[in-house]
Order: sequence, then structure tokens, then C-alpha cells
Amino acid sequence: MTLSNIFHCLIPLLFVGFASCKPKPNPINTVDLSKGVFIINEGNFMSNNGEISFYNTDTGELTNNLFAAQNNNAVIGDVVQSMCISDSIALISVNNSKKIEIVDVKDFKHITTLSGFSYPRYIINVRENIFYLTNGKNPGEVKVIDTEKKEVVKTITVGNQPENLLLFSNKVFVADGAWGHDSTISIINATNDELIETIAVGDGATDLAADKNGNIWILCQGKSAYDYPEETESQLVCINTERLEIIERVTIGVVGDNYHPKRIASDIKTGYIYYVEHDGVYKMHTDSPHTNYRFIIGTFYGLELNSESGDVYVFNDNGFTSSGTMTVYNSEGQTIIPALRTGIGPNGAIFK
Amino acid sequence: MKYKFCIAFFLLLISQQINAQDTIQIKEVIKSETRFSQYSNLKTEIIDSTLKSYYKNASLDELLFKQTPSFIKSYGGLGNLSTIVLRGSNSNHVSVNWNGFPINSISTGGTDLSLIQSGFFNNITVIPGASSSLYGSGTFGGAIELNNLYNQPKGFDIRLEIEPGSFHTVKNSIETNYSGNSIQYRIAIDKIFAENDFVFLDNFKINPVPERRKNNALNSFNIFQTLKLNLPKSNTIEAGIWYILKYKEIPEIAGSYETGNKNQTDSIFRAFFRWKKLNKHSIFSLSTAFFTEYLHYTDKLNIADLNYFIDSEINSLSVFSDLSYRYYFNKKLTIEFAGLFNRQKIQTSNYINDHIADNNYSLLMAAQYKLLKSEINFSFRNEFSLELGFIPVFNAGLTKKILNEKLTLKSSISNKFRRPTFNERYWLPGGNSKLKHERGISVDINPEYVLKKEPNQLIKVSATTYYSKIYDMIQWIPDTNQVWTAVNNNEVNIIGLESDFNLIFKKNNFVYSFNTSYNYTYSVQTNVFRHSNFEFPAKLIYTPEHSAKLFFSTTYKKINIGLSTQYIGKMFTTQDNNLLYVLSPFVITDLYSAYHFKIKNYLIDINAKIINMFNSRYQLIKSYPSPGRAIYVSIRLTYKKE
Repeated sequence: MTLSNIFHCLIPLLFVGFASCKPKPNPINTVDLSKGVFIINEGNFMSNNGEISFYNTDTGELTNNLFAAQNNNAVIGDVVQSMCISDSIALISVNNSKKIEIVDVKDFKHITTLSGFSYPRYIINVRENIFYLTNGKNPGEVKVIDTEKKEVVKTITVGNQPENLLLFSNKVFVADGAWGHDSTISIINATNDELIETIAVGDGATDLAADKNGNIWILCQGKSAYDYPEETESQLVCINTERLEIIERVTIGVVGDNYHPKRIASDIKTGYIYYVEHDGVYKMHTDSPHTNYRFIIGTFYGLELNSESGDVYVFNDNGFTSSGTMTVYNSEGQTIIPALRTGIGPNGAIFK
Repeated sequence: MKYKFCIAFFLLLISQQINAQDTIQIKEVIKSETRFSQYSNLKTEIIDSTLKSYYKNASLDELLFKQTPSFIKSYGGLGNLSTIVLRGSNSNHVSVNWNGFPINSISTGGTDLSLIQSGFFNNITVIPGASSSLYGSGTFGGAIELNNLYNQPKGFDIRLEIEPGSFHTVKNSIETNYSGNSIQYRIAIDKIFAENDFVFLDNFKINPVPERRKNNALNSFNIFQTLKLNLPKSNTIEAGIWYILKYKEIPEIAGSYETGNKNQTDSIFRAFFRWKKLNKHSIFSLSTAFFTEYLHYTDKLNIADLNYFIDSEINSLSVFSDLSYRYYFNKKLTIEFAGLFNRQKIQTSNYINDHIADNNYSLLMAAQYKLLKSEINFSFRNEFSLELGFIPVFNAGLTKKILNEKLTLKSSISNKFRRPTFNERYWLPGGNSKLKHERGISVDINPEYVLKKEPNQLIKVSATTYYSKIYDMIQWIPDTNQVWTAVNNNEVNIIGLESDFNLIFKKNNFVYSFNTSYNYTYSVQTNVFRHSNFEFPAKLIYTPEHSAKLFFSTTYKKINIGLSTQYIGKMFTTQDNNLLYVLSPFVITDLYSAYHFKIKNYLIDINAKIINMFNSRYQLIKSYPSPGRAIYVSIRLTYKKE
């Protein structure tokens, strides 16, 4: 063996001592997912560090990195956008990994991965084994996913950049126009998956919520300073779900502040609508929609309402640079769960 | 008050030296050294000709990663964006200079090293911790000098080279040099195509199977010319033109289930001109440079889509002027005064206004004072712009040789700054025109000990310890309106050690060279003003605390063999140093070999190299896999006429 060969063999060994193993998340042997809150942590864009956390409402225990822990440290992907659960499974839309991850809702074990999506966003369960997913940009589309067949069975063309969906009165309402790229909602028949009608509502329809009167409130975030030279106002638009007509329009926020609200939540029991503005969570009653007030002071990225308890869950992204937080308030605005550290960039939650 | 003191000190030195100047042969010490080499005593990493021969066809990122204390952040594969991390700082904290002019992007402040072919330059020097007073903005990490020294032997040569390699790579180049009594001219052209379709295991997918990297091709063309004219009466003219055209497909993040349709085209033109007049005791120099950059980035969701959903163009222009006068009072004292001007302009729809321009003016004074076994260096710059006002910076260094000149002790102190980039100030939305410049201070101490220096043997060891503090570091974070905004957000402390051991010995017909280095970087945030939901001190991301490099080469007559190994330690990728998202340590080993022979006037070089010979799986940026084992073979034919 020549001198260079000896060197060649020995050199890598010199560095073995430097190497250390990457810490792995502790495996969770028994995690009770029967009742609680799944928290959707987007992760930082282009970093593959999105995750799901689970907050057990009975024990008060928060489990982060649920997907990795239950699936041999597997990575769920880049930008975990949304999640939807049925009785047996959960579908997770991973936006920049361009996939839908399907897991067993009981133990969060991986079942399968669906691909073929260019820009997957939000999912709802429409009927047994059938889920709708908003996907794509210009034009957008709704993918009809059959989880029994584990495939997309139909594609419905809707407006540009569709975001959230809402199933109400056997119709699916799709908010078209994230960041102001459209100004409509598309209405789909939840029985036969046919597009019924498209209604103009306002720039940047992005989120929807049903109220106690059987109407739907649409959050129109306005045209965004990201894509347009001039912003347009953010609005809450109410439509009658039978006549499919606009019955109320409320301007929120201030034009020119560069803020474009993305989250709305409705308490059907009390009639209150909550939405996130740049300086906190605001609240208004559907009977007097032009009167609103700041309910929680702060900067929040996500908002959810527990329809059972009426508690308001808010999420702070903490700049996407480190762990975010989840804080829970009761309907009086009092903190009932102080800020808990979640994954990176929490944007919302699913209640089970 | 302190500036007045500095000026008074140097005026005193001048007055003491002027009387003696007539008796000294000044011409002996007049050299056209660069400003840095004349007035700084920092330890440098110089890429010598032997090393360069191994990396002749490599881009600068590969060369620096293998041979200097730097870490390279790269998106994996030939031609993907690669930026340098020196001393734990950001890529816009390293000033990359071509023949004295910074080529950093004025939009991002960084430099894509994958665009730079290392074979174009006669001299490549890395200066960790370089001073702002000599280089201007953005040297918290250091500086890189890419220089074309005009020292070609007289004659004419023409070279043709082809290098095929793994992942459907082909590099072709042609180069001609002419050197006469009064003119030296060089032209080099190269064309690179690489599919970059390496096989990798996508661990960001569940149940991964080996798959090929897609949408990752590179197609680039470079042309490079330099000229030197020796005119009567000690006048010289130096000039250079450098054009780069790069088309690059940009792959998707690992874990993605789609191929992606992102593309980027870069078209870069650079030219400089320098006139020098050597007098009996002085050098007068007037330099100017003109750089343009065009960047076009596109993305669409589906390949069949007619319209892009991102279609971004940035046109930038930089013009530099540098007027300097260097006076050699005697063999001991040299002083230089310079005035510098830089105009930067960008045209893009991404900014608040379609056209943005900025002017910067600097006055610089530098001095070197040599004693028998010691040397003092000092430089001072005052930079002015309308947006940032006056920014005074200085550097002071002391070098002392002791123990029969076996031990050289160097120390220096400097303050530094970085101007906010155009993106940080004007990007729509989020650009912040109220940003302050980053500022800081650094201290270096470098002992270098020569254990043995004989004709057949050289052994030396060196260790640089440094401390840097950066205030008002700029970071992009979401503001209260959820708009990602550039803000002065961080304070950073960096403590480090750069050590190396060099051994060269000759025996019989063998020449052995052994270089090894170890770098320790403790680079932490000590304060974060917004979004500080984590414990301090928190280490900076993409900064390996430990790294080590080793290079062993053997030359026997016409055969060279080199072995290069790099160890890069664990790196955090989140600001809160979450252990779940660290990049694991890795070791890469490369093997180089060369054989050359001559037939009449023809020189034939045959090179072969195996990069990542043990097929390590690693990432330089999280979620972007780097290629596995790759083999390249090149044949170079040189015709030479004396």
C-alpha cells in the first residue's frame, strides 16, 4: 500500500470524532388523540419544518412534532397549510411540498400521500370519503378527492387563487382571490360536485364563516400591496345562502396600512363574528355589524373558535424564526391558557 | 477628537521622514501592490498555483469551500446559487473584489460564487476579517480578492480544454495569452452545460427511494479579457472585460412531489480601466469600473401554463471611480490618499420606484510604517451618502517578528459597517428606507510560528483568534401587519479561532505538501429586538461551530496527486436552535490527479478528479441535497511559442 493510499484511508477516520448524531424527537409511545386540538404549524417557507402539534384539552398537555414522532421521524413537509379530519382519517395539505398527506386520525400514522397538486391550500370533508381541496392559482380549481380510491376523481374550475371552503346547506362555498387576485365566491353543489354559481363579493375573498341566522360571512382581504400598486379596503360581506345575494357589507381596517386580514371565526351560539386585524382580534355581532371593538390586543397569525366552548384560540407566528405560540381566551377576553410553545408558524387548528 | 489625534500623529511621522528621503533609493520599494496588501497585516489565504491547477475548471464556490476557512451555502449542483459564510456572518458580509472593485450584487449584497470561474484569475486571496476602511461596506466576514496580475512570460500560447463529467456535464474552454515588451493580452472563453441530474435519496418524503434531481440544468457562457499596456514614461494601462451569461433551472425543495418550473437568467457585464503613473517616489492611479447585471426569474405552476405567476426582472448598474496617490517617503513610510465614488442604480418593478439610484463618496487615507522587525499599518475612511450621512471607519495593525523572526505576531483592530442593500431599503412591500447601516468592531490576534524553513522543508503553524461585535444587524421579519420587513433587529457576538498547519518537504523527486486547518466559530445573537421568543445566546444559523479541512498533495516529476477532505460540523437552521432541524455533520473527500507531458511546442495536461468519493449524503442548505460521487476527466492542449 502506498503512502497516499494510507493517507487516503486514514483521513476520513480523523474526522469521525467530530461527528455526532442528530437528535431525534422522543418517540411518543402513547399519545391520546381522542379529544383535543390539532395545531397546524406551517413552518418557515423553504425550510421543510412544518409540523402538527396536539393539545389535549383534558390533560392540558401539548405535544409538538406529532407527525415526526408517530412516523419514525418522517418530515411532513414545507408549509403545512391546513388540515381536515373525518371520523377515521386526517388530510393534511402541505403547500410547498405539493402533496396531501393522509394519516390515521387515531394515532397519526401515515396512510398514504397524494400528489399531482400545483398549489394545494384548504380541505373540507364534503361527504363520506369525499373531500374538496382548493388548488392552483390562475384559474384556481377544486380537486374532488375520494379517500377510498385514494385519488382525485374530479376537478372543478373556480376563480383565481381559491382559499378556504365552507360546507353549508349542502353547498360548498369557495373563497376565490387570495391577496386580491379575484373577488368572487364559487358555489358548488355538494351532492353532485357541479359548480352552481359564481358571485362577485369583493377583492380578495379568503375566508368564510356561517352565522346564527343561516347566512355566510366572507372575509375579503382587499387587494394586497404585495401584488398591486394600490391596496383596496378589507371587508366583511354577508350573503343569504338561499337567494345567494349580498345582504350586508362592512369595511374593516384601514386602506394603506398594508394589512390584509386572513382569518374569520363565527360563534353561532352567540352571534359574534371574530376577525384578526393588525393590532388584535376584533369582534362584532351579526345583529349590529357596523359596531365592532377590539377583543384581544396583540399581533396574531391564526384564529380559531371552539364552537363547543366558545373559547377563542389565537396563534402567534413569532416571525417564523422559532417556535410560535398558542393562547386561549374565553368569550369574555380573559386568558384561560397562557401562551404555549407550538411548532414554527402556527396558522390555525382543528378541534376534535 | 480621536480623528484629529490620528491625523496629527501621521503628520508628525511625515515631518520626521521627509528630511531623510533624498538619501534613500525609493524605487526599490515601489511595487504596484494592492491597497490591501500594502496597508493590512491580516492573515490571508492565498490560493497558490498548485492548488489552482486542481481547481482550474471549478467555480469559485468549490475552490473556497475546499481550501479556505469559509463555509459555502449552496442549493446543490453545479451553477446553483452559492454564497460564502466567513467567520459566522452572512453572505452580504463578505466583499468580493475584482481588481479592486466590489462585485457584490447591489440588490442583495451577496455574490453568487457559482457564477465565477476560478481559472480566470491569476491570484485569488481570501482575507477573513478584512477592514471596512480598505474595502468599504460589508466586510464583517472578510473579503475576497480576484486579481489579474500581469506577469505572463513573454510569448504566445493558446489552450483548448474539454472536461466531461458526471451528471451529463461538459465544460469546454479556450484561452489565448500574448505577452510582449509593451503589451500583455489574455482572452478566455468557456461554456458549461450540466444536467445536474444526480441521484439522491429524498429523506423529506416518507419511504424514500432513490430519485433523480429534476429541473436543475445549467447552461452558461463566459468570456474574459484582460489587457496591460506599458507606455513611455512609466505610464501603464490595465483593463479588463468580463461577461457572464447563465441560464439555470431551479429545482424544487426536497420533499416536493412536483418537478417545478422555476428558471433564472443572469446576464452580467463588467469592465474596468486603470491608468497608473509611476514617479520617482510615488504612484498616481486613476481607476474606473462599469458593471451591469440583469436578472430574470420566472415561475409557473404548470409547464403548460402560458403565463408566469412570478416574472421578475432586475436591471442594475454600478459605476466606480478611484483616484489615488501613494507616496513612498523612504523604505519605512508609505502613505496613500484616495477619493472614491460609487453610483448604484436599479431598475425593477419590485421596488417602491421603478428607478432607484444612490451615490456614495469616500475619502481614504492609509499608511504603512516599517521598522526592522515590526510594522505598523493604519487606514481611515470616511464614507458619505445622502441616506446614511458620514460613516467613519478605521483599521490599525501591528506586526512584530521575534525569536529570530521565527515567530510573527500580528494584531489589528478595526470598526466596520454595511450599508443596507437596495432590496432591504426599497423592496415592495417590506423595504425599509429608514434602515440604519449595520456597524461593529473586530479584533484579530495572529501568531504564526515557522518551525523549520530549509530549502527542502517548510513547517509552520498559525492560529488566528478574533472577536467581532455587530450592532443593528438587518433581518427580514413579519411586522405587526404581517408584511415581511427589513429591520435593524439583532446584535451579534462572534468569537473564533482559525488555525492551520502547513508542511512541505522535498525528497528525491517527490514534493509533499500537507495543509490542515481547524476553525472554531462561536457566533451568537445576544439580543433580538423583535420576535425573541427563545433563549439567549442563540447561535446564528448556517454557521458550523467546528470545521476542519485537510489537503495532501504529492508531486512526482510529471504526476500530481491531491487528496482533499472537509469536515463540517452541526449547523442550526432555526433561530431558536431547535435540535430537530439541525443539519448533521458531514465529511467529504475528493481525489485529484494530473499528468502532463510535452511534445515539441505542445503541452498536454490530463486531469481526473473524483468529487465526494465516498458518496456522502449532505446538504449545504437544508432541504437542498448536494450531489453524490462525481467523476470528471479533462484534457488540455496548450500550444506555446516563446
